[in-house]
Amino acid sequence: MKSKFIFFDIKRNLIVNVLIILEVALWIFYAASLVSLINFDRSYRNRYNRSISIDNSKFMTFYKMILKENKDIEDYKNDIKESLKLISKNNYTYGFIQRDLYTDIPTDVLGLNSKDLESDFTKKDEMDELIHPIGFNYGMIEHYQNNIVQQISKEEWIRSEDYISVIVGNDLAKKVKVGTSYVVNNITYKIVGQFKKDVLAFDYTNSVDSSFLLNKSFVIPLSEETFFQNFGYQPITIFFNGDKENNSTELESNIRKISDDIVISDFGDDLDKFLEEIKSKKYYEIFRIIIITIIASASIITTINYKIAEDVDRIGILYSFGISKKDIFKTFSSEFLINILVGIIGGSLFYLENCGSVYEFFINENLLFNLYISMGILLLTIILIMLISFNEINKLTPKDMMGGFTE
Amino acid sequence: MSILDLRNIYKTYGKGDNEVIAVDGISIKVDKGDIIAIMGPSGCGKSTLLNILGCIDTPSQGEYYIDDFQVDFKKLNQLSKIRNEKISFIFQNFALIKDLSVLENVMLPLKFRGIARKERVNKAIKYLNELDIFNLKNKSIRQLSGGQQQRVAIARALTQESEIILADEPTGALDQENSIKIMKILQELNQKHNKTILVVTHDNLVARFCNKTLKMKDGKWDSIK
Repeated sequence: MKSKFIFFDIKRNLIVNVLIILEVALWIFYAASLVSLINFDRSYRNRYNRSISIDNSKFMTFYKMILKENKDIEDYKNDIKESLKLISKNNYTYGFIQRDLYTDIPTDVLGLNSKDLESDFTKKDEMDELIHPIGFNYGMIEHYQNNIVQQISKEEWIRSEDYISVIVGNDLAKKVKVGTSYVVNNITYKIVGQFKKDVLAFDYTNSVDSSFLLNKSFVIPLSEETFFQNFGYQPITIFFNGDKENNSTELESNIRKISDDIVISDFGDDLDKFLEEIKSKKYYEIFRIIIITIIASASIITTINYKIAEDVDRIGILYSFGISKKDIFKTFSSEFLINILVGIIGGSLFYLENCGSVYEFFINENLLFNLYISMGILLLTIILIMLISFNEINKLTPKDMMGGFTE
Repeated sequence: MSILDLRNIYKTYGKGDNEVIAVDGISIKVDKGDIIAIMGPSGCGKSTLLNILGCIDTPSQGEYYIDDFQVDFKKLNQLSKIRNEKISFIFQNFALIKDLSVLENVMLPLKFRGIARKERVNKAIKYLNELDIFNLKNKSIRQLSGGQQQRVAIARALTQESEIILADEPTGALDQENSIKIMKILQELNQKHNKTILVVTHDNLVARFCNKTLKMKDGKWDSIK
């Protein structure tokens, strides 16, 4: 029988070892989740800012038009078109996004399976075996250029008789390679670009509520004609080309003159409102996780103290061999750290697997960073625990430890 | 030449009215190869004396020399080194790690000297053979009788290859037959390996195997035979 461990042999101390590993894993998982939640606002703002240029754009929504029945939809469309002309006249650009629900692309043609299309937000979504492309006009593509790996020119972003240009989401790009073409129902789709990871887009009235990730998207060109043909009150983003502060007010008042039912909003307002709305839930989650983290830390300390109390005789035996308390502590802590390491690996894997999203709808973009922070905090806690352990060992008298030399 | 030399050793506990003198000015010279029994009633200070001799307790006053080298009780590292290189212990309760095997227990002191596993095994097997318990090497301590456990403890003390063995009631937990066997082993070790052995005991039978008996009373020597 070979044994490498004196204090934490896995077979002989199975329960204590498993307990420590579980406690550490639990600690890592919850501490990393805690850091995620604390960073939630900043993280969400950063992601939102990267995808949607808050400082350079505003967006037009048309929800007021839905409520009114005394006016024809075509009249509204004309008002919107008028507004777009006005935007162009001012040398600003605009962009729109519309899901193409009439085009079905079978996933197997692209060499994908349903798992490749599984939602990042929630596992509850049932994925079918068809992809519905998302249409972007060139104005929108131009705006997203920083979020696309390749440079896409206006000439490239076309729906011609020969082929339809496609930009794929970051996840799909692993299988659907840029430069390749696919023929579906006699239509050739040419992959001309790929989005960077975790780029957000939105396609309805509230830019936050309707936001979605483009990671698993199949984006194709969308003409103004098609947009209005299938118009479903999708918002239009105005890009001010760096002159938002000075000219947005004038443009807004001119558009209002065309129609009172066109509402121009700031992206920042939606974002602030959203973050305000979830504040109480976020604080509740933080409080809950802090309590769990404290319990996990206390359990680790208790287990270690129990372990020292249980092993006081073997500490004494080593002491009688002339092993110094420092070396006994070194042996104890090095064996203990192996358990900690197993717990850290287990907890980290569980966290990485399960904390891709927060609240099931927001991708946790600082996954590794949060993990490193929590590992750092854990290591500090472990050092503290070790100092407590060493102090406990140091306090032991020869009589406590050895017991043999008694009257 | 004295291997152990205690000079006017005092050990007191508590202060003022509560002061208790456990060891009261003890002096003794132990020659290399001696086998000595220290006897006395409970509370007479013999175990405290053994703790001081084993460098696991500090005297309040006095000087202690091992091989003419003065022990500095303030230097914990020095005390550890002395225990590691010069002294082995045998306890009444055997002080074996119950969930390790016989072989692992016997090898344990060598692990911390940085000796390679193969050499540790060889050394442990040598002493297991010498004590006639090689056949028990893979058994757990829990499976052994009291007599067998004390043999394992002696084998472990031997692997340390230190010159001095301090034994605290080594037969205290054994019946007479096993007590005689253990004392014969210690006597043999003394004669064969020239080990210096000090045994604290209540048992006159044990004392009969020693070449000198020291009796303590109230922290002082009562008689020397």
